[in-house]
Amino acid sequence: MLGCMKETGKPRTVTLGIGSKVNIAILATLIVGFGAVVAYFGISLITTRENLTRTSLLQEADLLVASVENFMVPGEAPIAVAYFSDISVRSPVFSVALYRRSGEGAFSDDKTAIEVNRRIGVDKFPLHLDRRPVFPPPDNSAMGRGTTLPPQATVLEMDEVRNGKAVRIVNVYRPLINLPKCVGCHGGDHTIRGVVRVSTDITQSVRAQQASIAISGAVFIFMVALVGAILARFMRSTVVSPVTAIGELCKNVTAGDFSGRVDYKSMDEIGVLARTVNEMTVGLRERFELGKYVSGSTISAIRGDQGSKRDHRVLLFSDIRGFTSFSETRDAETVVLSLNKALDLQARIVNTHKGDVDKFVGDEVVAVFSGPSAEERACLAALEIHRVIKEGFKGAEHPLSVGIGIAAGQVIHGMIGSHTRADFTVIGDPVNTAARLCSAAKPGMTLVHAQAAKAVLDLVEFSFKGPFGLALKGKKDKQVVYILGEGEMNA
Amino acid sequence: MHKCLVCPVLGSRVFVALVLVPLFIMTGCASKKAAQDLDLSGYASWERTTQVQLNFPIPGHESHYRKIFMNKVGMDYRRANEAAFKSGEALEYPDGTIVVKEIFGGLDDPIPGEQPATLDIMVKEKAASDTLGGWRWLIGDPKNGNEMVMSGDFCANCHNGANEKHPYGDRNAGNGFRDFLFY
Repeated sequence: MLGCMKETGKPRTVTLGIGSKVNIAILATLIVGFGAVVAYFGISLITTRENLTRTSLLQEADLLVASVENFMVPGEAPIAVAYFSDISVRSPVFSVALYRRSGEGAFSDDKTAIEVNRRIGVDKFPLHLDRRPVFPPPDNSAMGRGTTLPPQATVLEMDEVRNGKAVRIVNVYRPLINLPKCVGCHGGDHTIRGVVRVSTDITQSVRAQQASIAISGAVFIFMVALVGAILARFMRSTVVSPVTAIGELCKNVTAGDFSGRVDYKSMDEIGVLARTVNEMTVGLRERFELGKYVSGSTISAIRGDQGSKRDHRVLLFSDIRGFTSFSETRDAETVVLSLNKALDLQARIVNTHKGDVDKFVGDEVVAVFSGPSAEERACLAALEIHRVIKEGFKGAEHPLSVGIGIAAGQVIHGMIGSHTRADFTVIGDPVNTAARLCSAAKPGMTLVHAQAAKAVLDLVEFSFKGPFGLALKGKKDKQVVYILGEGEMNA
Repeated sequence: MHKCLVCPVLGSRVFVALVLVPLFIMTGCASKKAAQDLDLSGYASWERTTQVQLNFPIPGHESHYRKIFMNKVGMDYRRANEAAFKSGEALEYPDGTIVVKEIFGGLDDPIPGEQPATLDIMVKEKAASDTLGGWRWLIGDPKNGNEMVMSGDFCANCHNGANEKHPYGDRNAGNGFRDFLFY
């Protein structure tokens, strides 16, 4: 979940799917992992090239210094001059130079030869040489480090423009020490005689190195994209799709559609989850279907929620008037369709008013209401049943109507029946009274026993006619009853 | 131009020679590890290796007066090999040999009681990993008695000249191995 702010300032959440999250995590891991490898490769390549170049040039500088020392000691300065003249132009990418500690190019004039001749007292070294190497000016900082005690070799890598082309040059400046064996000719009052510079053009190797890094980078990006695509597809097939299907199934079950199943046969955790959800859907469907035939109280009793006990209940009996003659003149299919329609309409209304259809007895509905305002909900259900039945069969060849009886009082509810067949139902005087009132009610009439009516007599949504004394079968005394009607009709 | 606060007469050249050059050498070539268990107390009473007046410039020490002392271990070895030393045969000082070279400010003879600017020290320890030519090369500060080990080959490279012809003094006529010591 990523939180961000809308323009209104209220927090807004952006939800990433599990597939996106996993893909992001995997891609981040790939980028970091592969990136580290590529970066390490690139850095290693550069470091190795630099170290090789540096080491090689330092070794070449050592060779040059050794050459100079061995040329000079026997007094072969002209050979050294010729040597430097030759190797300084030997290769377009490699050059050498020798500088006095003042920064002047060695052999550029006769200054050193004159000084040496003076020190040894003999004109040993010729002046005015024909061949003199020409060296480019040195780097001042490198010369400074090479001629200051303690002298240090310097490696400089720099970009230059030669013949109109950008080139990468590595220069090594190595100090030339005034060794004791040099003192005889050059004097002992200085430690550094000069600096040798070895230069090489590494443009080609740098380009090859850059190409290698670029190719590695391209391979890296391609590999990340490829592996990311493979993983995304794998995640979609193994996680995202089944989870989405499970979510879709749960949504359908919530909407009352139990027909769907998740088709995922894997033995992994998602597969176990899919099978569990499928089994759960089957169980829910069975319970849902069972609810059509068994009262909610029975289901609750089966679950162990309720035991047998005495309690206050409101009983509603509803019976279709003239259904016997209706059924005798119609084919069975029409009879069942019409009966089911009437019963279904009444059951829905009872459920709407939080009542429980206890049972259907032929064309009769037995409903039980409990809890706060049970009498009010029973009366509301009765009024709606009359209205809906009337509307539901409007225009029919033989419209149906119902008579309803409502009674309230203490009943015993519990599992009633044998050990092989039992119902969770209610028994007691209010049950019998409601049944008798139902039988006595005319089509479209609701008779409410006084004990039930006293709880709702003052409610404005109802109107009552009565009280009337009504003799009921099985009752010694007349029972006080009211005829229920819509509001503001009290007589 | 920098004027020496202690002795303005000497000026900047002396300041460079006495302060900056040793400082550069100590900070540049010397490793950060100080020499341990090196006892130089009383080195001035050790025997001098040569009576030659070292008042001429040489590379490395340039224009500075030098006095060289060697401890008893080295001098005993030298005395035992006096003939070889004079004839130019090879010499190899034993472990424990210590050579201390006092480096003064200029080429003039030091005045009595004058402290050297630095001490250049060689300690023979053939098997040690941080030696060059079997010697550990150090620079000491007489003011505080600290010594620093030289990490580069600057000293050994120059002193290697003692092992071939054309060294100082007798010019190593026999071309013997003088074990990096000119005197």
